[in-house]
Amino acid sequence: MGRFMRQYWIPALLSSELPAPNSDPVRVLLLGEQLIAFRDSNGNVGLVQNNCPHRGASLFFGRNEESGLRCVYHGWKFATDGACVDMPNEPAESDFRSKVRAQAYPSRERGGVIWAYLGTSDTPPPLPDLEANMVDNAQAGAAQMEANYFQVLEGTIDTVHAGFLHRGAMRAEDQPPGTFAEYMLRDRQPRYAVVDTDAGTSYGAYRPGPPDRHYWRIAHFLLPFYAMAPGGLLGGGPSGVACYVPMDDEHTMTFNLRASQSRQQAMSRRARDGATSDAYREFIERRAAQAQAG
Amino acid sequence: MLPNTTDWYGRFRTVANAANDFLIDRDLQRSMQGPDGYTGIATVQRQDQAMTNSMGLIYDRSQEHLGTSDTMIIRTRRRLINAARTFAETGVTPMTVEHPEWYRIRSGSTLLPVDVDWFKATEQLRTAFVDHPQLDWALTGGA
Repeated sequence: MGRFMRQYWIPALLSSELPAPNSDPVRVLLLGEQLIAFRDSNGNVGLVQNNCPHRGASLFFGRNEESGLRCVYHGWKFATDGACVDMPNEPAESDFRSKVRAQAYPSRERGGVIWAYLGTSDTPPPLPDLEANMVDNAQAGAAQMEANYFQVLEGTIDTVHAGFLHRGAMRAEDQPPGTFAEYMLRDRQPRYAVVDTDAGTSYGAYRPGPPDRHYWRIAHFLLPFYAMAPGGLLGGGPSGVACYVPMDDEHTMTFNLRASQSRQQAMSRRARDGATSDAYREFIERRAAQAQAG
Repeated sequence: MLPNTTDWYGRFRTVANAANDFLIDRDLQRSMQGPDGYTGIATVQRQDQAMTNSMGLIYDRSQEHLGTSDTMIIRTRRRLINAARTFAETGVTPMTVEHPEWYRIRSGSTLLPVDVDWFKATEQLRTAFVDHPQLDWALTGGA
């Protein structure tokens, strides 16, 4: 599974974790591999092996200086592509430097995320076209979970829990009438349709809506570790994407990609104005505040 | 969020975690009042995290009892395992890696006439980078 996953681009860090040229290196655990991330003086991102190829000291302690990370043990210096650009402890005439490379992985930055390619292809594939990571108002957040990545992902594609875990104390009659919120709580046992798609799987969960209509909640799994949840209005703008990146088998870094939403804020505002109970109004306001706080 | 540390596991840790039982408030849970009155755990994110984490680090799936409402989970496991198995057997780069445009999709909720094919009927709505200015977010009621 690890080798399979390495064929794909993987979110590794938020851009904000490497805020400026020559900022502090960061320890990054990705698919069980220990890497040191740094931004060199030209702004380029490097993802190199933790242990210096020389004698294995951690490059985390390295000096981030003049287009490279210099191991403080004996002064070996590596560029973002892993090339050894200086080896000051060897005789000047030695070409040993050209024979040593640090394992380094290609990276790209888009929409506030630093992506890494840990695969074997000499030419990395294109990044996946995830709308929420490509639009001008792309935003990204991250949260670490202590569980296997697929266990976390399963929570997002398990639609039925929402009516219990998240809304168990809420009543249909307190919701704005004629809205999704009302239909969802009138029937907590949706029926289901599941299909395989080009990129993964999709489900549609449906319940009675207004006369002659069904209320559908539609969501996706995308290979190898993405999920798109069914909340919000289908077609109403870019959907959020949750990326469940395995740090190792038992730790997951969830990267949440979304468009900073004038639309979602409008949604919350309208829902609040239409709300019929104080509890529900408080709930919407709290959600809106949380969304803003990230 | 707790402040990030430089540890391998020090990034983006949440304040509510297994060690503090995700800050469950038993009085709130007893009250059955308000949006968090069922769990006693504040916020959707914490509720999800508490459930997922409480299964243990990697749950033994042979102990589950999956019902009809778990179809998506079952199908998705099969899809992922088959994709990984195909790669292990053939070494051929997965098709999804070479087709970034397959990721141009959207999720969400909608209303459809009762007699239509949901997948066909939502094709445009599920496509990314398409504007539907006539749609009204008020229809969601926050859901």
